[in-house]
Amino acid sequence: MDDKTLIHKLKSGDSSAVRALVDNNKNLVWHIIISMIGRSNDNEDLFQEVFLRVFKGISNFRADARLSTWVGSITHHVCVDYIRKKSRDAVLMYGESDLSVFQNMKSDCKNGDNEDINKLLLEAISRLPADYRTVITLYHLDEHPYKEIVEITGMPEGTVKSYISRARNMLRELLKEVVPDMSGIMNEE
Amino acid sequence: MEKNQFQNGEIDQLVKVALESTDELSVPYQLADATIARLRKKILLKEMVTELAFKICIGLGSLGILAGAFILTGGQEFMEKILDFLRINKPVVLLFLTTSVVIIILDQILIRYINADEESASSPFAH
Repeated sequence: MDDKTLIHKLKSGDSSAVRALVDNNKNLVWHIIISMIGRSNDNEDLFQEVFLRVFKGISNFRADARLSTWVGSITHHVCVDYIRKKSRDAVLMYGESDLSVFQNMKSDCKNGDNEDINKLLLEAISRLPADYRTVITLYHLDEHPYKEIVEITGMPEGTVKSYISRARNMLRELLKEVVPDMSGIMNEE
Repeated sequence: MEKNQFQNGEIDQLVKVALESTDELSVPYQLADATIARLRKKILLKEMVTELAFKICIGLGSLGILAGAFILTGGQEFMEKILDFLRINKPVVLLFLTTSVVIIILDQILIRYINADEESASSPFAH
């Protein structure tokens, strides 16, 4: 079901369109929540809150952007509201990012095999500030272009590009120390 | 430059594989179905309230038209009798109206809403 049909059905209160709305966007919503909030007991409530807000606001949605981008933007707002409410992680979210977070991580990667590399990268990403994690997840996992990440997060395009570039450089440096021959890993993938 | 871009591609691929390898980023089982059930209930409630409001409007409109017709056809005397009756029996009339409103809301909204809730709870997708 394309965006236009789905939006029309949702606006007319067609309950069969609800499944399409949730199924098409559940991964995106969950990825943003986990990236911004981390694992918490409130994750599932936030997930439902996002879709309730989407449903409530669908009558005012003018389809200037893709539906998924709009849903992502609502998810971002819901998470920002949550963080403000909890007064938690605010420094990581908005403050200067301390990118020395990867220090002392290479000892975690003992064998240098794919599983270890995955663990190392996940650990490295989890230590990044929330805004970096969100941008990386949207760019690498959900494969959103820069323009959509800008619309979802409200960050300037330069900031998004800079986050991705800096995160790449940091991960590259980290991997270079742990796995000197990267081509070997790439061939194993 | 090409070499640098290729290296970026390698990093991107490794990050993608790493992110895909973790269960943490997978939507929990049945969360989507629970959300769908909740949204459907919201739609149902909205439909039922709209339907009830529509029925009430039709009822009140019909009464208004009847009253207007009486007045226009010289039925003021009859209308006054009715109004007098309502004034004298105010407590009984109010009790009757309140009971009717409660019964209508129970019948048109609450019972249907609870039934829908039970249906979704007994469905294989229930949370």
